[in-house]
Amino acid sequence: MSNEELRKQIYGNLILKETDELLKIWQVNNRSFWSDDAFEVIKGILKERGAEIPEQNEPVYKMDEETLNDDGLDEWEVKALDIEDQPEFYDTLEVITLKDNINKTTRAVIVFNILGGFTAFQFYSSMVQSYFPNREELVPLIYLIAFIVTALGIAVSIALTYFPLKALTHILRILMEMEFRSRKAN
Amino acid sequence: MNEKEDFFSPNHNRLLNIAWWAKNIAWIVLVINVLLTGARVLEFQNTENLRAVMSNQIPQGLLNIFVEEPLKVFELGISMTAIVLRGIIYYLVLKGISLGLNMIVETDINYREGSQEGVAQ
Repeated sequence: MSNEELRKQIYGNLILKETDELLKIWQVNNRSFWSDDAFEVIKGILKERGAEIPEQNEPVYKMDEETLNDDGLDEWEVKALDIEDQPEFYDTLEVITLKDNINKTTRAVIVFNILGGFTAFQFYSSMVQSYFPNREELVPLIYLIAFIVTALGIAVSIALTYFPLKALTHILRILMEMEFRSRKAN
Repeated sequence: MNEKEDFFSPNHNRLLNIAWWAKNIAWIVLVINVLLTGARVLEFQNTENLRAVMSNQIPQGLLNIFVEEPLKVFELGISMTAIVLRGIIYYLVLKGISLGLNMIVETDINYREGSQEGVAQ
């Protein structure tokens, strides 16, 4: 990846951040977290937005512990995005975006399954009711059975989607970390 | 890239081929599922028309059905969302497989390069 392409990628990533957030990154001046290119890009974005560029703190070159940034990215993920030596067969940003989209879809699946449970409840209650025709006294029991069956159906349905998708995000994360570390091994 | 090509084996090519297919099939699956969402509306209307004919009633348009039975809008919405979500899930999984395979190839080539450099030194 050329320097210009790298800067474009960094720009594309940082332009999404709020001005306050960029000002904070600029002032904290954490050089172990952000590259020199990233700081140049941040300065450019702040100028574009007409923000007053404050003095930077003394640069920080060492992080005490593995930290998470505001996007929920690990330190190594930010570095993987930021580093000049980008992989040739895949796009780091694409993997991070995909992980984010999978997480969003997982949440959507949970909400959707709960909403779908209303129609399933109707179906199960009429099905159970058909086994006990003209038994008004059993109506609460029928609804209870239908509720339990619906809840179990929702739980199984959520689990069948949630766990494989979560596993996929973790597998992608591990593969990307392995690839990133293998670059360092060279 | 030439340096990387030196470490390429048929297995790498196979993995990259599968990754390429997975990436493209992901889009196809997504488009098919979006089209199926439209087909679900048509299927719903046909079922309602058939039901009306069988009970000696005049078949109605979609809007009239929804005005008379709002719960059916909800049911139709749920089944359409299910189709779209299924498409999105297949898309994400196939895309994940594609990226995962590419990352495996990249990792292996990095290690091969590393070991080659180690031998050279």
